[in-house]
Amino acid sequence: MSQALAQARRYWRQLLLASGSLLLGSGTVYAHDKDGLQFHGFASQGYIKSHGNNFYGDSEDGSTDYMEAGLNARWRVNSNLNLAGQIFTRDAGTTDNGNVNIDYLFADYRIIQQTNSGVGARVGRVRNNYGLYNATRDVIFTRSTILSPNAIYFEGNGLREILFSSDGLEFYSYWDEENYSSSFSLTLGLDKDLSDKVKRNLLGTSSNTTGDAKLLNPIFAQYIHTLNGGDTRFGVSFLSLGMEAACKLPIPSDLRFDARGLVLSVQRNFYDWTFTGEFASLDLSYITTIQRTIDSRYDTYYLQSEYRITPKINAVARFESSRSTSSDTDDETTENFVLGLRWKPTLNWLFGLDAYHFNGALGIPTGDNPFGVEDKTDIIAAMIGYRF
Amino acid sequence: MTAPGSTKDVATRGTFQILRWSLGVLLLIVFHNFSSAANLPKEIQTDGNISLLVNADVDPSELSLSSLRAIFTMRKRSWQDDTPITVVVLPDNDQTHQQFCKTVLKIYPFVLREQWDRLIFSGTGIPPVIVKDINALRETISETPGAIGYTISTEPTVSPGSSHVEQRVDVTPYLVQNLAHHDQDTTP
Repeated sequence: MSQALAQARRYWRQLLLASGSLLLGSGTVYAHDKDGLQFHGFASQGYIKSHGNNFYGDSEDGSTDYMEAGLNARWRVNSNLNLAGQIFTRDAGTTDNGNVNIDYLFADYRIIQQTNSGVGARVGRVRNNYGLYNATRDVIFTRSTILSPNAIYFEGNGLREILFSSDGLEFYSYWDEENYSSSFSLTLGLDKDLSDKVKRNLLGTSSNTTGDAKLLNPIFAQYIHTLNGGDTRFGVSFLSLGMEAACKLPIPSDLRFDARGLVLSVQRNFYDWTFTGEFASLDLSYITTIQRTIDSRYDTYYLQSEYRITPKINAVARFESSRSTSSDTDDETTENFVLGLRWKPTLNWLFGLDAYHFNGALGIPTGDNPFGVEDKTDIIAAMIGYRF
Repeated sequence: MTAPGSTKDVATRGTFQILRWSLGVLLLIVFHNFSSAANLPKEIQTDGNISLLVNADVDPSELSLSSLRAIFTMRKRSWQDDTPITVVVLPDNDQTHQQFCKTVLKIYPFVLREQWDRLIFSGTGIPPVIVKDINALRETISETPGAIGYTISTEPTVSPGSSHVEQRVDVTPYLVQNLAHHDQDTTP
């Protein structure tokens, strides 16, 4: 079975490489919209070498088990109605398996369009707005480093999957004034069954003794305020969701989990520099099989500066801090230091090289380290990305 | 009770009505396409040496700094007459594009690109049409109702008999006034 999977993965990679070289052969691709239909896509392949812990595959020996690719289409039916969809695949050590999924697929109806404001609704599977980057977190071209900030986006643990997307209804609005623009979105998701992969990432080995798991009442809200055409951006994001799982052992009963999170985001752009800070507080509450409640809380933030050395080359430095407090276990703190360099020779290509130092174990994928997690991790990551 | 004959009449009348309507709509579309293809785009001068270029159908009185920013960041999707807006731009590294971002929109080009990429990869908006040069841009705008883009200003010299001049609507005072008003509040 696993051999068949590995084989399928190899084919998929070959297909990606082949389509990549096809596109490359055709030169720069200009999207066209004459018929209201547009296609875009991206693919990236990473290489990770680490010391201390594995991060996405057997990275202590050097791993290429980190790949992302997507293909999207958008159709403008008329001035009020758009349809959009994206298929997506990602491979990331034991945390993701290279399966092709529907990333989003929705109808977007503009209910009100006035000169300086608009209100609309999206129905279907939508990406959740959470922090500045969650909606496009898996596209190397829309994030600053190869690995997203662990502190806000939970890159290495199971929470990332439940942040992704909701099947439901999203209301959105925007209004513009002379020197600022505001936008607001509210997503109400339907309950949905969680896949085995998500359960395993969330619950670790105890997922073996867990039956069906369900995500309950996901709600995401975000308010973004930008000044002077995007020079400065402020954001407030909110999430609330529950999870229920049927436990088989030690006695059949239900495990319940509630999460509530708040992210404050701020970004300031200058000609050469961009400074970004995001601060999050996430409250988790578990009710275990023996009806005992465990409350835990994550207080996390990161501060990042980017410097555009030339229009095509930029450097990034980031400090992240994640602190978890729990009524059940000892407090835990992880600090991450990140340095990165990226080169975009054309709009379509990107080459990135990053160094990470994790001082602490929060966010290290437990599945990649079956024999226990060390306290310190050093990572060198390289990635090549193509988009059209 | 309805006689079978009259039911047939109603059906026939109905069919004719649908055909008549369809023909009407078809003629409208054909006429619309011909009329927009025949019209050259309007050039609207700004206070710099960049001009806005809009399809002949677009009403330039809708343009101000805030509406231009909403249009080029793809928040605003249709004109007041409900025509969809199509934004046509040159590649990111093109000098004219960069100058347009800097002097007209007053947005850093990389900020605009980030905004477009968020829309492209989350599906939440229609990204701009990117064309390779100014001729392609002019052609796309003249062919696409509701299209907007930009160009390097040409001197408003009058060449008698030129259809280009006939089609140009000079709204310089209006836009300059709008943009100048914003200049006082924003740092360039």
